[in-house]
Amino acid sequence: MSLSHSLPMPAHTGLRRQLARLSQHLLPLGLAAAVLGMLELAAGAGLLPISVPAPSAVAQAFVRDHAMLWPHLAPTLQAIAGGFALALAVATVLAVLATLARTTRDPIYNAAIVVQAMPLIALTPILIIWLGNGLAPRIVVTALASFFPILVGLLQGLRACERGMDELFTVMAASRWQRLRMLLLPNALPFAFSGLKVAAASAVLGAIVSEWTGATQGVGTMMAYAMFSFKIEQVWMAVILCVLLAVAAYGLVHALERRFVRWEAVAVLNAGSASLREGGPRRVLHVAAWSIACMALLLAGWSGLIHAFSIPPYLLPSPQETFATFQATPQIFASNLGFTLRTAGLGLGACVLSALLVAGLFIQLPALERTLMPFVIAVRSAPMVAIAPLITLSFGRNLLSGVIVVWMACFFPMLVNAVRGFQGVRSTHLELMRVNAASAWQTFAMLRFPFAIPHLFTGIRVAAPKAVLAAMLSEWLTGARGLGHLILESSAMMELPTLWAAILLSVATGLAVFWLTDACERKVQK
Amino acid sequence: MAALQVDQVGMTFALEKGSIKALEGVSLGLASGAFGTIIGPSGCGKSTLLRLVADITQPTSGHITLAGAPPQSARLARRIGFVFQEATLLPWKTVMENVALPLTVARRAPIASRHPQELIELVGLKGFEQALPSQLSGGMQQRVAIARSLVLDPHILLLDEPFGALDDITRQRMNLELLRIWAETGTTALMVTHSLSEAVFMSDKVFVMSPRPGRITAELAIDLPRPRSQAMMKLPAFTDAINMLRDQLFAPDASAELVA
Repeated sequence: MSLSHSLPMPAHTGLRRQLARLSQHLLPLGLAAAVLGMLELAAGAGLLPISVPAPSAVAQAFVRDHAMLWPHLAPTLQAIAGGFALALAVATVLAVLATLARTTRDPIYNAAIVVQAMPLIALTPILIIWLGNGLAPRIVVTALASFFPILVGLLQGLRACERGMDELFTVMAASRWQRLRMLLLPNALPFAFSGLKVAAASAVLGAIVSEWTGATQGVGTMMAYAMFSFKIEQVWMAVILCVLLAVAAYGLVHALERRFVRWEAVAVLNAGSASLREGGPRRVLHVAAWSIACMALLLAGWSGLIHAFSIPPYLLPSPQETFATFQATPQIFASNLGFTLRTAGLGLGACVLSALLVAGLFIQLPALERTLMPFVIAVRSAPMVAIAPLITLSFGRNLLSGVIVVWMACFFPMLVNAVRGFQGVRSTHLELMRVNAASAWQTFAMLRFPFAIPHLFTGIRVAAPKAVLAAMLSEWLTGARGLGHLILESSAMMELPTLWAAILLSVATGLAVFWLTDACERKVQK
Repeated sequence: MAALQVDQVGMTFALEKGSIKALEGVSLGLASGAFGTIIGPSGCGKSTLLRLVADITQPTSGHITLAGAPPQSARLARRIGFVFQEATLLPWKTVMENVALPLTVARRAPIASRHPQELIELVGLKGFEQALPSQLSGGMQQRVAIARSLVLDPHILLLDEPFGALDDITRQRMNLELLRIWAETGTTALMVTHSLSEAVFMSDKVFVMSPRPGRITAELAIDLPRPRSQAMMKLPAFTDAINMLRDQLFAPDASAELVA
């Protein structure tokens, strides 16, 4: 991806161009080698904190302990594969349904948003109660984590058909099924693969997080045990495994894409969700109304289930009991919610500011961008939250750790959107500024920044639910107060009414954050 | 019987606020085997008219018949060929598969004189049967689209500015090719264009359209001999025809539109 120049580059001499091309590949590799080397030297000199071992020590640990890794790897791989397949199957059925029957499109998309906005770690304890403490709840969590990008890719791809193609199939008097099979589905493939690539990392994250509660084996379990027993090299091994899993999942999807998409296709997944829906500006209200309707239906079904099958409260307490729990100790829930929102808000704020700063630097110094952007893209596909244990080890069990974990979870989507925004300026606009002899700062302030604002809000909308999730995850690890901690604690103590109330509250918070940021995005993009 | 009869056709699009009249009282007829063109400024409803003939959309008033039958039955019988401004090829299918696509959709065996292989040769793409569209130039892609439109031996070939996306030199060459193919197949053809010389060069009959609402303001028969050649473009009859069309297009009521 050449993100640097919108203005044509002056012609280089052959040698200089070759050197430039070479440096484009060598600089990121060189930087990686330099960082590793410096870490090694610093470790030798005893300069590193206790939470950061020398790279060679981690490598040795891999060689020494590789036998113990396999039993952990197998269940995680099963959860990832099963969850990914489940998500793909459900998303495909729903996307095809939405395409064939237009009226189902909005309900399906809105329901998917509700699923997406749920902090998935909140669901793990319930799923374990319902499905048993085996592979099944982990597969479901993995599927929930990867479902949304897959669905978005498919929906967008099934819609991406040019008008002429559509008319051609009308002139040929093709049946609905022929249109779907011969035109819409193959045409959707590039978009579907874009969604699958995003989902690959989410699936790994889902599997790992699901193993943090209750599992006896798995990479996530290994990570959690190692952290609580302060086996630092093992934490690093688990984190590296986790990143490798994400890279492998991404690579597999990429290989399949190269196998099945041999034609030249451009599929840029639209980060703005607005384009996927049928309606106009009234949509925000619509989505809100939908979610409320969903909730009402859920509550009705919930009560109905309990009455119809006389379900014992330990499987599913009634809505009345749950609300009674809220009423009994509202201050506990309010204060925990406050802690979680504080962590998420501080992390998100830090993330927006730093992303703006870095993106601005990238624009002014294209060489810096060329060096670092490959990292950004590589790391973006890794589940950043998996690094949370390392952060907790390094910074201690406090607010700072939580904020940093949130920052890590949000930084990359934010940065990518900021860079995209700054570069979204058309070249003729840049040429206009050049002709008028505008300074670099003027070009930035008068052109790039205003152009970038819609993208920034898109970034915030994508990042905000991640921030809430990350804040809750960090509480699981640090033991800091907040909704995530409340869920973990009440689940461990089998205080089911509290568990249910906390889960409901976190789901409602996720939805509220989504609505709020979605509304802001629409307001700005109007 | 006329191959195409358009009778008092009107088309109104409903918008969020109110509606827009795209066509009003459009009538035209085309004899079997003739080449007709519709010419007019951008946005006058030419393409809309072509899409009504192809039964892609339906008129809000008036009637269209293709060899006596309504467009829908012609379409369902797969007797309509359509060439779009863009080649509109499926990028994952080879040239051969794209040409054969209407056969696949109709689940029919190739017609003897319209075998995909023969059509590919007719449009001059022998040797490119297994190429993917992205490996072809714009002109070559449009040749594939023309071959595809002929594979079911259509009663009528509808062309929506088929060479509008090509450069002028390629475009003139493609026009000659198209005339040759049309003559060899004997199909009735109706083409939309906004080029005066293209309209005169190709047609037996030119229909002039004016915008908002689109209506036929003039009809001009072109009596130049066939087969047409580039040399004919220098004939006084050719220039006269162009000048007559230009007068029609820039008639007082039309020019008022242009200023507004």
